[in-house]
Amino acid sequence: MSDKAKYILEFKGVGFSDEANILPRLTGIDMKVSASDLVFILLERNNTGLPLCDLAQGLLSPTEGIIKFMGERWEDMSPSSQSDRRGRIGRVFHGRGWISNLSVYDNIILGQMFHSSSKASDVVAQANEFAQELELDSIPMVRPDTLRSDSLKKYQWVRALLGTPSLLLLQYPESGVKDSDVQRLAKLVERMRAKGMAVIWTTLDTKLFENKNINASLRYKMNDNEMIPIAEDENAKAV
Amino acid sequence: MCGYSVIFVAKIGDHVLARWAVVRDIAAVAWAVIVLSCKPSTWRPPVRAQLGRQILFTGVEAVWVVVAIAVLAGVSVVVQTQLWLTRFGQTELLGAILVATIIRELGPLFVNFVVIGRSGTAISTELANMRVLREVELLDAQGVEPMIYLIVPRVLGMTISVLCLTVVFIIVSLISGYLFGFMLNIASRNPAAFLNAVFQSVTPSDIINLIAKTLIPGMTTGIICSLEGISIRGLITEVPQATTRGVVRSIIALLLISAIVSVFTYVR
Repeated sequence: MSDKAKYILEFKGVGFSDEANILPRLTGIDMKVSASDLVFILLERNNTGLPLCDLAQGLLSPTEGIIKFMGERWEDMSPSSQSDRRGRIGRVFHGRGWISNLSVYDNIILGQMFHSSSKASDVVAQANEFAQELELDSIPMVRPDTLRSDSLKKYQWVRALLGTPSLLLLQYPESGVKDSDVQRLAKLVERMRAKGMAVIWTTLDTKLFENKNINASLRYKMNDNEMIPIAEDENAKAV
Repeated sequence: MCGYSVIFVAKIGDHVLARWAVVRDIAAVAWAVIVLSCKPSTWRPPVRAQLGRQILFTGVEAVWVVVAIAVLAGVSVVVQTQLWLTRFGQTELLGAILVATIIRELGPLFVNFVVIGRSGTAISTELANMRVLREVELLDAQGVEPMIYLIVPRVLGMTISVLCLTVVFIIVSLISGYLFGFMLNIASRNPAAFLNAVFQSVTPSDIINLIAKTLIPGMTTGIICSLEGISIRGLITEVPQATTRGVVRSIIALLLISAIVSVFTYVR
């Protein structure tokens, strides 16, 4: 049974390049993420558009190697099964990350209401709990365009954490928000990891990457389209 | 000379193949929409909410536009009918002629035009903008299937709305036609007699014709406009082009379907 897979996410010798040359290339990526792991990846400032999260979610297919989520290759799943699996992944997007024609409220509960049989009131109650912990107002009914970008970013955190996903993908969640808020996020992530959630956190912030308070299981640095694992001693130094 | 004719035939062939590909895509999406809408798992709360929104926008909010057009159409048809029937001394045929013109042709046609203009354009523009803003990918990343969440409720919302609006159109235009005829002293003084004449003129073929001319073009418009919007590559300049293509193709499809249904229903 794939749900009992040893790893939540596996990258085996993954390479990626697109014909149009719009997205950056990736080569030789090997990574195994188990339940409760936190993988911290430091990106290069001149190479931020890496499709790591899209590959992890099966939205893009690797040109080399294998990517497995919950023990199954994305290519082997039916489209509906792919959608169900993606519903178990929370993600903070580095771009806008909102459907402009829906309110923030509808945006936040959309994924949960689509995938789970939970009542809207229960989903909203959980979202409001997270919002309170992140010192946000309760989930607003307004369109995303009417909110400040830092609030929107934090509401993205709330959406990504809802329903305790198996995997959380954070694409520079710290950009545009205060350090104190990032600490709150780190605490929340730590708590959710204790429930078995695996996390991949990509960052551009070297200081944050070296932060002792963020207890990462694995640390990688991107270097010219390759992901270099930080050796044990170096890792220890970083932590 | 021979070379030119080969190029000419090849161009016609390319054009026919391109049109055939469009028809095939529409048929494939229509089949997918029918199959998906029969599955209970499709009707998750956000999809139900989308269907509700679509019916509200396409159906409910268009009622007053349709009522206004229906009143004017009813009055116009009565004036023309009165001119001709009085000339031939056949004013008792007013009910039957209203049925033939309004139920069979004008009702479905006018309502479809209104829906294409109001909602077809909105659907193409909205979905094309979602492509530009990468919001379709955002749905995919959350495991929300765009076909189920974006296309199915829009297509069904259009289909249901066209049928309901056509019924409204027919009722209002018949009432306005009768009242105007009454004022011009050409309709029967007795509304029951008028209604009787109308109902007696309606045949089972009219009902089949009405259903076919509302459900099929409504669904086709929904599919064409959705496909045009969602299949752009993501450039902002493509948005108005997608909208225009959606309207033009929907109108062509509407007239084609309308003619085919009329031929199959009434030509013996």
